[in-house]
Amino acid sequence: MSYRAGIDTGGTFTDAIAVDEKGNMVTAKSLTTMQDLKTGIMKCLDEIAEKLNIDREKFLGEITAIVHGTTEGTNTIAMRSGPRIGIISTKGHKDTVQLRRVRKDNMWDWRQPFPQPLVPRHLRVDVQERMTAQGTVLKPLNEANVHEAVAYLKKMGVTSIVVTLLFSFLNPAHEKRIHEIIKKDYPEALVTLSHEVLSTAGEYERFSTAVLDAYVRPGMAEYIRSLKSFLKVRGFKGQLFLMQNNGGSETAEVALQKPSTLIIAGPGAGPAAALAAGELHNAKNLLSLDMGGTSFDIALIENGRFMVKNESVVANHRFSLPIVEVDTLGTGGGSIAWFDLGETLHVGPRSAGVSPGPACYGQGGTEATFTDAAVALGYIDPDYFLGGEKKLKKNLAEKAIKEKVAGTLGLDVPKSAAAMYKVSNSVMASGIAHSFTTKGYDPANFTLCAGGGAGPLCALRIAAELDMKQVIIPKYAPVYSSLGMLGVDVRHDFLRHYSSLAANLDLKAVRRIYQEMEKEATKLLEKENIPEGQRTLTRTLRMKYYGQFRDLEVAWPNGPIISKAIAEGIANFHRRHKELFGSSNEKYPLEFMKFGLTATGKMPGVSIKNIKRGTADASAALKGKRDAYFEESKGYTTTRIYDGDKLLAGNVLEGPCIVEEKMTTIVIPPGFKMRVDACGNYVTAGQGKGDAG
Amino acid sequence: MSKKVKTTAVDPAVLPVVWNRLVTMIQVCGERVMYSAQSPLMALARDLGPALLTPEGDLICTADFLPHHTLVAEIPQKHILDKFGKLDKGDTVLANDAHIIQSGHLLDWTTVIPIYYKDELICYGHFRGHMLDSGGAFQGGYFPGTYDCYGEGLNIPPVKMYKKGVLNADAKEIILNNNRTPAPVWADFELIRSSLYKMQDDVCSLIEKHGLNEVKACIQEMFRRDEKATRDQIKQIPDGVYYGESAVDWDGTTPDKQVFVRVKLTVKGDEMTFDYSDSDDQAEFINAPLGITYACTFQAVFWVFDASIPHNHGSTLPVHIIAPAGKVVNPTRPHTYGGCGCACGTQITEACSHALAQALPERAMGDWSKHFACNASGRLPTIDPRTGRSREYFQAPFVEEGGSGAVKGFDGWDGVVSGGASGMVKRGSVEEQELAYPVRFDVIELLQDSEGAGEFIGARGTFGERVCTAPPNSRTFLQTGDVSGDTYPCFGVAGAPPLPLNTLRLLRATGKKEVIKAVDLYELNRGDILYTECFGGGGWGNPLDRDPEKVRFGAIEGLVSFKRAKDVYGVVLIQKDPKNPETIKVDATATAALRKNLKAAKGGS
Repeated sequence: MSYRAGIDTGGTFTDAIAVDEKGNMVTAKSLTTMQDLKTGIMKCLDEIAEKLNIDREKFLGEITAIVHGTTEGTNTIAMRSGPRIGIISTKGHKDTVQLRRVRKDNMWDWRQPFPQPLVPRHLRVDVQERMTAQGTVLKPLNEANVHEAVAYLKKMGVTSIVVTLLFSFLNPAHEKRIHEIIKKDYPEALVTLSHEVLSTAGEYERFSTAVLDAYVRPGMAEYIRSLKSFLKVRGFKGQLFLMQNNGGSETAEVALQKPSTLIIAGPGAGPAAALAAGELHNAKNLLSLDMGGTSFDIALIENGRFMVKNESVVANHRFSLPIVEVDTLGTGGGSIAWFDLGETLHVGPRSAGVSPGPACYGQGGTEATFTDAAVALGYIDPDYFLGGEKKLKKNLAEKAIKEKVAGTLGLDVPKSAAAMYKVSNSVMASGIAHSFTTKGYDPANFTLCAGGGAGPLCALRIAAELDMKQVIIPKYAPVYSSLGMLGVDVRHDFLRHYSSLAANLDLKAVRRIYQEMEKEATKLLEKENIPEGQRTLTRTLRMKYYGQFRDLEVAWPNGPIISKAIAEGIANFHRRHKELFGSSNEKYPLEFMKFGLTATGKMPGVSIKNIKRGTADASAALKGKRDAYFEESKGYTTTRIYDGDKLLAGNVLEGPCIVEEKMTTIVIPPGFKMRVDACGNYVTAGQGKGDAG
Repeated sequence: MSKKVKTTAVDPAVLPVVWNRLVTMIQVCGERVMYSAQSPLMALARDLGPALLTPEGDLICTADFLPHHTLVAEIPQKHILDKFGKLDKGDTVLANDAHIIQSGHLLDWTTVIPIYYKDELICYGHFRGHMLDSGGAFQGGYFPGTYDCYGEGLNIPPVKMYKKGVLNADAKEIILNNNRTPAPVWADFELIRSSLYKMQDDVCSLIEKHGLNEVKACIQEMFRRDEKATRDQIKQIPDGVYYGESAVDWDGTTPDKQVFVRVKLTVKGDEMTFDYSDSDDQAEFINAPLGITYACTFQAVFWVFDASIPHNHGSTLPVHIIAPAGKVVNPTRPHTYGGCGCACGTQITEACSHALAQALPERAMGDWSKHFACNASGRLPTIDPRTGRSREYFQAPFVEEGGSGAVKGFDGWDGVVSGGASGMVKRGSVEEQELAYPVRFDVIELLQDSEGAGEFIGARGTFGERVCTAPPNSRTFLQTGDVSGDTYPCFGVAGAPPLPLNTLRLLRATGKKEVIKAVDLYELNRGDILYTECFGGGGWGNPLDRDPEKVRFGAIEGLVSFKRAKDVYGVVLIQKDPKNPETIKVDATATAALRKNLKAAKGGS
């Protein structure tokens, strides 16, 4: 038997899933161990081996590939535990990373500490040199300055130097020369050149990204190396892949070269999980929703492609490498209910977290949280939370709601819990609506795919709020991300700055750019042993109407680089502009800004084994009844409870009812109907190939 | 007496649902324009503001954009409705004449559409944005000294650019014929219009979902709640009369005469009145039309009050503003007002902040550093593909800027620029500026000893060196009309001292040195260098109470000199290794003794 495994280290839990070649799946979940993430990983692998009834070494020996997503990078930044870094900058510009260019999140609240840069000012040294905006040398590099700067930084004990020069993306000569001098004067120092991390205009964005790269590099490299040897010693002989920020994966060997591609890898696998579930039902426009203990991640997938953004913020520091466009809202099971001064109810973003956690955990929490509301409403069985591993106290949930919410609302506990549930759903729906509207899409044309421990509790309500017609809840929703990882392809992005009026575009220059990028891409995929037949290169370009300050990314065809191919890109641009902003103008002058290439290596994907087929009648899986509150019934109503593991393909579940899976609970309100598909997923109104009905 | 809002019973669970969706749709309406605009002010500086108002003209909600635009909306809306009455389906009104609509300067175009659900008028979509050009003597509008408001630009009264969906082609032609950059300006206007109409779709789908009456009831209930919350905040201020003032360096016309904004704040029970009757009479250029005066007053109030209160019509009801016509806070025709959003808008907020600091020192905030990135405009000998003419440009760099004032418990934020933006503007990028405009920034650095001292310090200021790189045979104008603080400083609060004055100097390519002034206009030539020294934000509390370790850290970073540590903070620092700033330590004994003496001296003076 051979297996493929996905392991997702999250903020609270480490999830793992293993699939054999027949599509049998085994999952595991354990608490994340912050001190050493490997401990949590090993616990999960042990749990799976135990469930498979084979010993650990044999199990690890039979795994051909592990895909792993880690929060190592994010943790390093959040805990500020990276190396001591020095910066060498252009004379007069050493404060770029302190002056920042980040919009404040709440314009009226200045009672917060300033986010200090990762490199303090006295470790930022400037040297005489200057490139112009045309990429020519205005002032030559003063090498004596550089020697002095390196000597000073060495004396100050920095172990890593980031070189941040203006316009280095147009002419990197001075950054490269500084690198040579550092190699000579201080060979032990790690060096990061801003133009190598990100070759685009915008000095703060480029410098900040380069600093983050340098900040996570040693820790991440050490993590990858130690994880590899840790697994090897325990019998793993397969290939180790790591989830990247861009939603693709890469081999550990390649990841070691550019650890910053792993900084925000956490939420990257959600969209892949949605894609895999959607494929069974021919759904290519998907909204992936992953709701856990503290956060709620949403991502849009249009026509089978997830979206990537080039501007994000990690712990208040700008990061400008491509990352999967996942919007995170501070809503989760632990979200706390509160009132503003106008006595209007809010839920989140403040969270009770894991400790003390929701009031019903009985760990001393007194605030009323989303989970408390779900317990009070009868959605979560206090005796069957996490499959019965954690006993919840319903009386404490009700007490918290009574004390913290009911009085101000002037309602009884059940109605107050219902209000919390509704408000929380509306916060999520509004966040989703924002994502859709800013991207110019209509939710009605998308299928919602809900994962995470808490997502299935509210997926149908959110979908209804947004007029979304189809909802899929994967059988493996609680290990959503690790499931997604198994379907993730290897992916590398390349981008070159090249601006030109459309009328003056020099096709020869474009060809040269693509020759370079395609060569680099092919080399990488070869290094990762991706067979030629599994490789795909796709082109993108970024352009704008002349005079605009932001460009849009659109696809354009492979093949010969000729005017006709470019014209197709231009047509895509006009169409996308109209979708996003409501207007386009084909007569307006255009400007090209950047050309990009995405190289992918197709991975085998997952085929999940079909479950046993039954009829529409689900009564064999009925495990009992309890009172649950639904606003349609204006009170508690006796509600059927189904055992998720006993349901058969084709079973139809008519609301009001509740399905209990081991790690999650699916709430089907009155008026909603879900069907179990061939693989055990829950689908509304599905007519896809995976639908057993 | 304030107008009382009728109490309505709405489902407490539905209310936040409707409110969240309204805020989201207005936010997205603004973001669409910001993302796609060709006006650098809208695209880079978020110099725009969408709002939703009831058919009666009451502000329903705004979003995170410039307060000058969002909080002003009720006033221009009222004037537009006074002229036309109820707008018809498909109408789009444009206006910029602040002697009619009492809004901002002529570059800020107000666009209004009615939002209908079926055949019923539900609300108005209202949008103000800083356009690339609006005629007048120079592009960009930040030049003082024109004879009257007609010299500042094209004065557009409220005009229906679209009547029931049909373009008013004559009006378009007149407006664009008076514009230097007609193609991008019209593209931005159409962008705003289409973004507002996309919002209409969002409003209608909200009504489809929750019902018309429910949505209306939610809006009224939000007014009631915000009014109550604001009244509760006012009740925490001791009843009394408080004073605040600030001044603009001059008006660009009458030399050596600062123009004062003075406010008398009267707090009684749960209402407050800001009375500007003692302010100076209107001057030129820096006058603030009434809408700006309202917005800048509310900005000071909202900084002090709890940040969780949403801002709508209800929160304005307990706050009264007296601004007599003919004062600098409410100019009359034909006086000019091109600088209003910056000065005296900034000074209005400062005067109110100073009055509130007396009333509520624990919640007070030091002044933000003044806006200090001079604008530039000009014509280049290259063809603009949009117009087929020589390229006209307007540059608002937002590069030479400081940051926020301190509050109790927290230092100000570096780099978040001047207060009018309240953190909503991103600083300019040196590379983006140099790629787009004939300019080079040789130095942009934090300035040593430039923070407003205090127990909590204001943001640091900056030192800048900006070189004009315009080719020969081109014209470049430096417009200092948006900057201030070279004769009247920023202030700290709750015992924190004022800051030094900002300076602007020019070194001409010819070698000639000039000290130049804020609120003025200068011609620049290739090779001329502008030096800017912009001080930071005001502090909070007595500098002698600042944690000595924080003073030490400032010294290690090279931002606080030893002399300042000693003279201002009473902290004696010693440095063992002159080449290693980390060997700087606090001499605790000497510091304690010095602080005791300084405090005694202060107490005795």
